[in-house]
Amino acid sequence: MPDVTIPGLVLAAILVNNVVFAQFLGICPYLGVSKRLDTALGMGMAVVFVMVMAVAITWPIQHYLLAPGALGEEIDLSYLSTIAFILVIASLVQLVEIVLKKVLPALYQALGIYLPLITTNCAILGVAILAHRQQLSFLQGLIFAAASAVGFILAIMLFAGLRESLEQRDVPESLAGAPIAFITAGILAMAFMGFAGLGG
Amino acid sequence: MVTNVLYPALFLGGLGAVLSFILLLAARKFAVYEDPLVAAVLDALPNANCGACGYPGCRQFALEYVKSRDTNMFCPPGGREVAVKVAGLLGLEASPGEAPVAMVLCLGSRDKTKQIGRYEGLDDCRAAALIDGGTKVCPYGCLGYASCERACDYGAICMEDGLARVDGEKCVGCGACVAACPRGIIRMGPRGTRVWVACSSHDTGKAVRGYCEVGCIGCKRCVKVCPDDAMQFDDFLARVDHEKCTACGACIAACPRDTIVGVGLTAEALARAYPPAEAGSEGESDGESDGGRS
Repeated sequence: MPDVTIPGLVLAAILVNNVVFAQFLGICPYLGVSKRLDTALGMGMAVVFVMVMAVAITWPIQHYLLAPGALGEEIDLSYLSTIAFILVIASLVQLVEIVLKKVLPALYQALGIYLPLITTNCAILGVAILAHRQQLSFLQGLIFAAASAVGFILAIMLFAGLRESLEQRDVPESLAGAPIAFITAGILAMAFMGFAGLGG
Repeated sequence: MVTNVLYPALFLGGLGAVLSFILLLAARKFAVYEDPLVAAVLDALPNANCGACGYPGCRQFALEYVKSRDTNMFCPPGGREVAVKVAGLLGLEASPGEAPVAMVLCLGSRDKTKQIGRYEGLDDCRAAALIDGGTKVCPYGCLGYASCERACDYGAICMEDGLARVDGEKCVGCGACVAACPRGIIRMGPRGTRVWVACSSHDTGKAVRGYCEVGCIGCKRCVKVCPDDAMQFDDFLARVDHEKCTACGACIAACPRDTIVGVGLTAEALARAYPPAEAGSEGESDGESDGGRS
């Protein structure tokens, strides 16, 4: 295991290597569900939940099934991690949805449509893969996932807030709507580049 | 080598099989019983998830509908047709629903307003508005060329003597007429009991007197007499705040020009609005006042 301190890991995942601004993962929900603050928060909470679950389940799969030599001397299936993770995450989300509907209807209602939407959120897969590429331990992986999700919430909430106040502004007609959203996202991403030196 | 294909295929196949087995078990074990009526109601709804009913989506509407069996819940885009269908699924009778209803903010029929010139253009309000506003002198009133009547898919608007009239029973509250009127004199109001100032003129009282017998002259008597503070007054024109109005009829009685119209008033309000000497003089309230609307 590499020598990573927990605060360093958390800070790096939230600010320096922010999933959206530095890794460019999860751009679709970032642009799609950021028109209003409350939907952005809903999406963000669902991402936290699923991201941690995804790392919790893909880490053992990676280490006990896919790692070179895990299943047998000559068998190296590590190149299958992407497709295996997709399969596992999609099933996981489905499973979580079924279980939540029965066990915690309130949470199911709150996460609502965001849960199935997350199946296609590349940030989930991205973080699961990053967690094992950085050779984190299981616990570190979970913390990394949670911090990355917090970074996602930070990004999407900031952006949703900006977009909400942009609605009130007199945007030139040719820039109204998606163009100004992209410009805003670009400026926000540049602002986050200021954290680049933080993690060293 | 065969194993290069075999192992990954076995692995992914096995993973898929295990996962689907888990999902199958979970679906069995955690199955949530759902009233089949919910699915049926959901099918009958437009499934546009527009939120016009006040619920986040059609599914929430269907759930609540089946749970409460409240036929007053209304799907505005689905209109009357869907309301009847959905109520039928639950074995209930559809109520007229709570969709808004159109109100024409003008009473200036041809005999009550001053006319000038002759209009021979397209028989359409929008065309007339582009030229010089048809033949009525009033620059705010109903043009009378039936654009709203044509816009209405439900036959709820008809022209009477150069003035649009809404049949509240047929109106589904879609708002097509509001968009069609170039003068913006049609507004959506609450269904059921409602009172409104049927004039859109922002001209001074003197000017209105000059061209219309029934226009608002801005005397503010309705504002003073209203016990609920529901009458707003702005730019020489009174307007009813439907949130505050209790349809007591006081303003209708106070209006010296008979500009204020009430629909579905209670007997008490009717008596106050139209004191015996003038009782029955208001035609528009007849059709619905005894209709028992919710």
